[in-house]
Amino acid sequence: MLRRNAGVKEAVQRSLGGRIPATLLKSPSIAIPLAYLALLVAVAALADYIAPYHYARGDLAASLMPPSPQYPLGTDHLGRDVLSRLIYGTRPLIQVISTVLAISIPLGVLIGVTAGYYGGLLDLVVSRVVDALMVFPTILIALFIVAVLGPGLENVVLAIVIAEIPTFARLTRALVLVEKELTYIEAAKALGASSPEIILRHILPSIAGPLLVQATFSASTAIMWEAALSFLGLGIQPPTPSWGLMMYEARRYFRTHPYLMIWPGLAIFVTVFMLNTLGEKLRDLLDPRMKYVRV
Amino acid sequence: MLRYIIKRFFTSLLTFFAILLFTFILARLLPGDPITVMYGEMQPTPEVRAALERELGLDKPIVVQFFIYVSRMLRGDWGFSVHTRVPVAALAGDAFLSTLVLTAFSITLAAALGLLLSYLSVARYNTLVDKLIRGVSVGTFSLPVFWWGYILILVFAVQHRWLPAGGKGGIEHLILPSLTLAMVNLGMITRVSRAAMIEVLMQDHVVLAKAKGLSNGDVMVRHVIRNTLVAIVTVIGLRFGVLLGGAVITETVFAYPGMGKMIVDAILSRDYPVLIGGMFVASLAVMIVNLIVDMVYALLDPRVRVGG
Repeated sequence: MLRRNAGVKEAVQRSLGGRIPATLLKSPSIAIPLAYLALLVAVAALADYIAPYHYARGDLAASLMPPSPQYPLGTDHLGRDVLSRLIYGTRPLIQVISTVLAISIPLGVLIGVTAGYYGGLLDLVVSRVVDALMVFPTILIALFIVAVLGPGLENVVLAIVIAEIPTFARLTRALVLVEKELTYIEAAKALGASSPEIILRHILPSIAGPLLVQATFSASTAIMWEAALSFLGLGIQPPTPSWGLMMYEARRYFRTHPYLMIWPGLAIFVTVFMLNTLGEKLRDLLDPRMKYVRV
Repeated sequence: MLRYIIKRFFTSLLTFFAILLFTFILARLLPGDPITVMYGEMQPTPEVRAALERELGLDKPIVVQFFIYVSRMLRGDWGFSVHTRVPVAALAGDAFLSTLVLTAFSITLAAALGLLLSYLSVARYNTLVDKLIRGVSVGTFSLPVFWWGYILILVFAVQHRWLPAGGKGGIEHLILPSLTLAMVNLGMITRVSRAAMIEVLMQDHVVLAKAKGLSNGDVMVRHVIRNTLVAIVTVIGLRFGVLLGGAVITETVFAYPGMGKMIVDAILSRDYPVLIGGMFVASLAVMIVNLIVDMVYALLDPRVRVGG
């Protein structure tokens, strides 16, 4: 009986695993954001070939120029091509997203699984520490880090990671608490599976969906914070062309040259919007009940 | 209720201790020793420095230093700005009031607008209006606050000279910053209160009240609005951290002299006493808001105080 139960669950998972991707891609609110993200990665990878100019190449004689065939979106205060800077700006963006996720997901999941699966005193301690961290809003953590370590890409990433780890830890812990009570886990235990085996082979694959949803939202959160901190002058430093930094530099020229501000802002808006749309749709499909943390 | 309040106050006390620890660690981690940090460019003579070290207890163990720090913070002795020599407590007090006014304005605005939009959305359920409102509220989740602020400045202060683009003054200086900051929460408030309204309207006792002949208006006020308010208070409470982040950015965009701008400027100009005081007040504000939200929540929803 127990064995059959486990078999059914696996069979269902396998058949869903085969069918989900094809069905998913038919939904425009998944296909469009995915295509956009692929485009973003392609632009970042091929920036050297697509961009009309190098991001740091400035022609002071041609500073603050309106759009023209030579400079499709005009130039900034140092005579740098705005379009090229927008194109190269995808690089720090993808760098921030991938580093934040690559660090905060494994660490958060590790903490969450340990606390949720083993329970007891360990769970109590971990939960209290996570709660204590969550008392401090991301902005205060970020300002703390930047004040102590100085501005820059690495420190911005560090601040976002510190804010995101508790998010993943909490979510994972909640998911594991539910999952470990299910019959098929009991069955696996009865069959003599060890704890690491159960966690790796059964629990993690089952909770991957909600984690993927949270990862999407965390990616959009990371973009938003990088942009916000760079806009405050506390994030990515010149001459790296981050979109938020472009807006920081445009502040002085805003009244006369508002488009220096409008374009990078629009790029941030569209990118975050795509990620959020993707996350919302994935959540509806994968797990409508869970609550996620997002900006 | 009393048990709940006592329990909640105890949690806040722990948080308060965590905040003191957080700012103390910040003070220790900042580049330079505490006296260098306190005095900035006008460094004291060695004799004054030695006297200060004794007075601040810097020759004592770190735990003792922490308690000296706590007692200083509690007495309001937060040092002086290294640039202007103004007492930090006075600076932080002014800045805090400014931020309080701004956030209160923007929350009221967001709650009122959100309630109105969600009401429209529910009243025109599943029509174009409903879909439009839902689409826009999801869209606002992705809106960068600073960008939105500059668009408002562009339209209302640069193209049409209707409102000032920044600074502090009369009520007209508050309109654009509040509108900017309101956008941080408007989408979420609209979405959550729409869901709450629909949920309440479908409940048996509301259907019964209607069947018994209670007018639509009465149903809305007695059942629906009350429950929706609970949802709105919850959203505001849960998202206060995000609101604070939004305030930091909004204040910078509009050169509004609040806490956020004070902290950012302090980091950029290495004015560490101001930074520490600012972080202390900001964390304290988060703590107090969380406390108030939980209290209001308990007042509005009896289940909380019984269960808690």
